Amino acid sequence: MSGLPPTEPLLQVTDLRCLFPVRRGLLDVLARRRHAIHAVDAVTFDLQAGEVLALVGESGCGKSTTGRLLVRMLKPTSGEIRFRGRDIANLAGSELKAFRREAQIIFQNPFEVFDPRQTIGSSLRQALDIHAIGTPAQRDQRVHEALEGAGLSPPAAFLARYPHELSGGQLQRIATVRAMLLEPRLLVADEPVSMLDVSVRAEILNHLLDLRGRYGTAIVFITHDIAVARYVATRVAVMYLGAFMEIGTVEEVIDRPRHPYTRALLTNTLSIDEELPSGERIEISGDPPSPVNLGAGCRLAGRCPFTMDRCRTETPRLRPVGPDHRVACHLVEETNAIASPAIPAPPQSATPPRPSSRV
Amino acid sequence: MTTPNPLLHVQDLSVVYRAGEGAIHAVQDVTLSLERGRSLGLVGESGSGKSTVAAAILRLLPENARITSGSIVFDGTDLAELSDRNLDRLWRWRQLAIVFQRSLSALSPVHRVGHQLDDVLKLREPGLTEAQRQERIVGILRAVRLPDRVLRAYPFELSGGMMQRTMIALALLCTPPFLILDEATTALDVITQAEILREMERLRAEFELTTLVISHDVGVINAIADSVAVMYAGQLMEVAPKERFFSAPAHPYSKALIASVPRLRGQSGRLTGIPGTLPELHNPPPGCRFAPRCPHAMPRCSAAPPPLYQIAPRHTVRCVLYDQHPEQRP
Repeated sequence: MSGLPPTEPLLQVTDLRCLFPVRRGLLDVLARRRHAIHAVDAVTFDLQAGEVLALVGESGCGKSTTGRLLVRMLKPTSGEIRFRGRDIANLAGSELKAFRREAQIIFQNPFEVFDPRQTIGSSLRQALDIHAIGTPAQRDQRVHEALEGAGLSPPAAFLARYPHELSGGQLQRIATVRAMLLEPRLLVADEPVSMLDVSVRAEILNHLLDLRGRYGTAIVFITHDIAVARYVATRVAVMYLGAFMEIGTVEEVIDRPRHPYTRALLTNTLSIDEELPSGERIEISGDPPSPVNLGAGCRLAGRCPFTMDRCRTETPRLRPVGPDHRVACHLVEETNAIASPAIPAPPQSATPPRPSSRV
Repeated sequence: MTTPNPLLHVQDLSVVYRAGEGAIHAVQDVTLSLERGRSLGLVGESGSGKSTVAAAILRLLPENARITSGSIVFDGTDLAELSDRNLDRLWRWRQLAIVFQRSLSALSPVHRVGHQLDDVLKLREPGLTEAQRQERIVGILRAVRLPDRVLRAYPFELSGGMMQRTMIALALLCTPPFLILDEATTALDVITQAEILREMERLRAEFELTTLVISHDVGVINAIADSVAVMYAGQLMEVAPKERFFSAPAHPYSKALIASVPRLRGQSGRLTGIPGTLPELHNPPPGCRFAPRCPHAMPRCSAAPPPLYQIAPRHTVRCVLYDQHPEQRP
């Protein structure tokens, strides 16, 4: 962002965990065994106001669960979610309702989030009705303006229509308008363009970025598509089996990835860019293991081409490897430890070192 | 326009779906040629008619669809003229096979994979003995790099990648020379998708396959096709060698499509989408179907569908902007 002094983050997530219990069989009950899916495990990060953080990963990695925890659609098993300094992990009742005015979410399939029997106008109005914002006339006015602002004009042409009468792209745009009507400080966008055609995606992505510019809303953008993440985000977090593997600025994580999993994702993503030099691709074989009762060790250990003994016994923690760039990998940690005394900081870093003091 | 000795040549194919009172003109005058051993990528967004073309080639169209004109000549025989019985007995699966996206629904959930593969092979090649069938199945599974234990597994026990490999094995059971991949890797995760496409490249060589790859994803097309055909709203807009297509797309729709894809490397400028929506195919625009969204549209675009202009070797475009092209040949 700009040269503003660092302020308190909008969101401070610490050691966030979400476990889903697995149904037990008779033998498990008799043996008093409990199983749980570790959907989100020890996730820790900060989010500044107006920032766009992309959560990237393959299906089942916990990125959507993380998104749902952040807006408290789900209650975490443990951990802290500080929103503007206040822990929202255990809010309930009117406090939760007040929080929801400030934190909204949009989903992949807009046809599933609108009531098919309700007109677009009344669906949009409802958001304002629930939070009793302004007079009824003011609410109508606001809905009208929001549609117009999103390029859905004339608004009257949309207000009286039903969801099935619109295209997926139009409806997703309206879902975004509805989420932004309350001018939230945080928007979680869960794969908002994944089911749309590419020619329509760009409009939705640009619309989101424009809204962020207008209201300063911070966005947690969940996607499996790392190229989309590169386009919308200022920072990227890569998830695998419920945990963050790597987090940092887009430039750091996508142009200088350090974690083998991030490198595998990047080098296996199909694109229309020039081909990678052969030999650069990281191959990760097999499928992710079951997320039930994960033990110690790196989650990628069974598939990673660089696995060492230590990886199987000790869970790597996120450690800084550069300015705003942290990686959870023993290999990176050891290479850094070996490399750092002999070799100075890599010169290719585009970010100038932060001046420690000014005279 | 015609290529020497194509394995598949689709000429002026039109397909219409009956829908209530009206008709949906899903595919209009599509002409495609595919030489032996080549891989053609057919790319388009939803409603472009790309999967309808695939279904028409295999004559797997739903009941309310009809081929209204055109020919589908495969290895010298017009498939569009064959009787259902003939097509089913001699051609489909034996000569032409297809792999779809939703493969889990193609297999029975209550029978083991090996049993189902054997059933299918029994039906397609009744002359084989049990030992021959077993040998063939095990051979194909190894070719698609599946462990033997898959034979005893139930479909739901397989991961997405293994399931898709099983479907490829099913399609290759009778070693057909021609294979259609219809969004075959779309539902897979990034790493699995790349892995399966690399396998496909190997299988193409090993089985001397000619492939038609249908996808909405230009990245997939880039990974596996030699040439690219672009469809929009039922019309074929452009056909070009892959390198040329990505470096110098000619049709305004192709250009817009490529400009709307986010990049992984290099400059990332602001993406531009394509304003507007797909035309209603009940009552499609009379001329170029992209004209209502095209930045270069002129009155003659809406008069009649433009012909295909050849602007370079193996590069044709259906757009009047190329009417006066110097390289144009009759």
